[in-house]
Amino acid sequence: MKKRRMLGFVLLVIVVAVLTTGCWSRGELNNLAIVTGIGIDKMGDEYLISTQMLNPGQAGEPGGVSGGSGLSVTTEYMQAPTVLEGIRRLTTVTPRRLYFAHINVLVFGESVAREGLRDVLDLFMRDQEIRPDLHLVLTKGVTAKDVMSVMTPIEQIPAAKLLKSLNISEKSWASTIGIKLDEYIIDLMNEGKEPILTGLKFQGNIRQMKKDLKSVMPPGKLKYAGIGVFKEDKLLGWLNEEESRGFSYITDHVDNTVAHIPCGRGGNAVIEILRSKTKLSGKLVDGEPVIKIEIKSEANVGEMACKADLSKPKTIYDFEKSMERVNEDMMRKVIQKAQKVYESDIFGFGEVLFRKDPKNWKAIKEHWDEYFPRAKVEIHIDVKLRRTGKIGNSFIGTLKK
Amino acid sequence: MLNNGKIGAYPFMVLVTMFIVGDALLYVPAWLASAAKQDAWIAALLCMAEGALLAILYNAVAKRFYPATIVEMSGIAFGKWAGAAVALFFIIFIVIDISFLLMETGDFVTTQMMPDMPVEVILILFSGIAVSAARRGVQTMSRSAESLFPWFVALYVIFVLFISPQIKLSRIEPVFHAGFIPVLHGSFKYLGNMEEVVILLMLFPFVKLPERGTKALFLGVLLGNFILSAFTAITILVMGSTLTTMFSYPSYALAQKISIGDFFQRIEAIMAFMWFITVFIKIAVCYFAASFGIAQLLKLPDYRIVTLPLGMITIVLGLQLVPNRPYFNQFASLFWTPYTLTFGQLLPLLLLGVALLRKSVGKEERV
Repeated sequence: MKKRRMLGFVLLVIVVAVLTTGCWSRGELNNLAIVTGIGIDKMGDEYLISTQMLNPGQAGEPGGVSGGSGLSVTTEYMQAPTVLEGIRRLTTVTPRRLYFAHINVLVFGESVAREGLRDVLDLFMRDQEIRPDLHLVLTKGVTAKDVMSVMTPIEQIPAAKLLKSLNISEKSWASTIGIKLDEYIIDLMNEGKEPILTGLKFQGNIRQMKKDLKSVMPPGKLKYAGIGVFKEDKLLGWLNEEESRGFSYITDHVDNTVAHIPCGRGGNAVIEILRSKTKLSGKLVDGEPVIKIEIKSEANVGEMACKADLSKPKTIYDFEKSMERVNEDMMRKVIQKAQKVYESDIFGFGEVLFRKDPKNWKAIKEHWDEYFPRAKVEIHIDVKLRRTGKIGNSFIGTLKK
Repeated sequence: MLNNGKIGAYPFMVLVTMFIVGDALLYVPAWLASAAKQDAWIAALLCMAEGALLAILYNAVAKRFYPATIVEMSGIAFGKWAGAAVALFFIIFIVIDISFLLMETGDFVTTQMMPDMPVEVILILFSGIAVSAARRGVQTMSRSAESLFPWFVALYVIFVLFISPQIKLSRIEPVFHAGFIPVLHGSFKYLGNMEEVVILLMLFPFVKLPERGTKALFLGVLLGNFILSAFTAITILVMGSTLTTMFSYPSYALAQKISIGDFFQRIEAIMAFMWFITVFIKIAVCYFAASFGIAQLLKLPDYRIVTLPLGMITIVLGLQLVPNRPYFNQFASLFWTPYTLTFGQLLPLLLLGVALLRKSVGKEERV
């Protein structure tokens, strides 16, 4: 009995000794540099990795940008043949271990996207610290390093600004689409769909922008500008804003958006889409793919800049018709561009065929690149206007001239 | 007798359920999806049927030979020497299973949570707890299973509830596109996991009333499989089959995706506890089964003296058995199912066959 007690005691000592030293892989907050965003550019054969890190003590304080001793974030960059080496080599600059669990955005320079993202994406899926739900963004006309190194008004953390304005403009304007890492990978791997990413450009003077942010109207700003079209992992080109919004409609990313329609003699009415649902279906008819897009939207009248008589239901029905025409036009344009200019099935029409008509899809999937440009697309839109806002008829109608 | 107290039907059912869910919760979605693609959920349903059939088989064996464990059964059915050999192989099977289970835990923690931590530490800590649970006997184990079960269920329900807003029905279309073969292939990998239920026959004699015990086993198998099937279906519905196949631990990746209103998120580490609970029960049960079997085979007065050495052996064996992750994956997908078939299917069938041929066998044991 004594022996067993002794053994138990020794074991207890060992266990306690092991446990009380703390755990492996711990990260004390004062030893971590929390990375909020990463930018990747291609420089010759190497990659330029820029990481934006929180400045501890500054972030979260009101007026962290202008008042106090420094900025809320710091950006460091490093060149290396691979991404992971670049990130590790950054420790020669930063005093702390980089901590990646709270990345908001991963920004790819146009240069690296044109050559293909395949070699840089793997790390972000493989590393255990990074969650698969971080957002991917492209730059257009600027480098990712520049994007990572400007301060932004309103939001103290530029990377958080990138994420927030990506999401808010997706929700209320529908020209951007927030693509998460895992969604991009799914698009990349699934047959019959090519990936897209939203592009970010710089408006204004970037040199001046880097210097200060002391003016009410900042000398430059980061602006989302259309969607980048990929073929596999290579960036082919861009959709403009209107085409991007058409794309949002087709792929059912529209929550809430506005569009103007012609009304009466010269003048516009603005229709606000409140909710919209897109259904894609498709099948092969005589060996040729036919895709059917059905959209049901509910909308309100948002703004009147014309004399149309809103008291008559007929006006509402006319508005519905012209809204449907405007939307169809928007979608036709982007379909045209994807089919004829880029020949890249960003809408996932192939995937739709695979889902809805798997037997026939099997026969053409090897040659989908040839079929896609000539796929017929039928569009059925049903817009229902419900309300007209706080007022009925506009005062414009009663004005004399 | 060696036993220390009997257990009721409900605790036994909970034990069976958690044993089935065990390590499978982390792996099953990926196994099924790698073969059956978006039809993985059909494969999972198929496995539920297979599980039910297996449970019927095990029940028949258990009832026929009650109150004998597998080790005693093989002695009764095959004679002294042949029976001992069969029992020995069966015990080795359990020991190998424990080693793999331990390594799975170690691999998981070092891959997803603490990459710098030596895997040995995790193995020692985890097997230490499981061994100490096994030493306290069946009653204690079943009680701890019973008390942990609500926690497991709560975590599971929270998980499923909070991930369900991200479900996209289009992810499982087209249904049945590649026919039945991939579905069968997928369910074959899963089968290996289910065959391990045979280990529970070492515990069956501890159930108070064998009639209710068989019912509990059947229900436990169904419930466990239902939990796994529903989980597989949700994984596919949210992530699609491509990503599910790509991740080493799709359920953990799924937990990382939980995000309610941008603030209830990043709770995957809590979700991992769900898995720790079930795998702990499974390992503890296996430790008990192996050491109890050894004690019966060698006619030892107390099984407890075997538990500690067994714990040490399994740790070292685990490190030897799994040199790297791809090796483990290949072993799990190619060899594990055939290996378990030997003990999970062939052995019970043989036992039952012998018992039926020699009508007296088994019956006379019931004194």
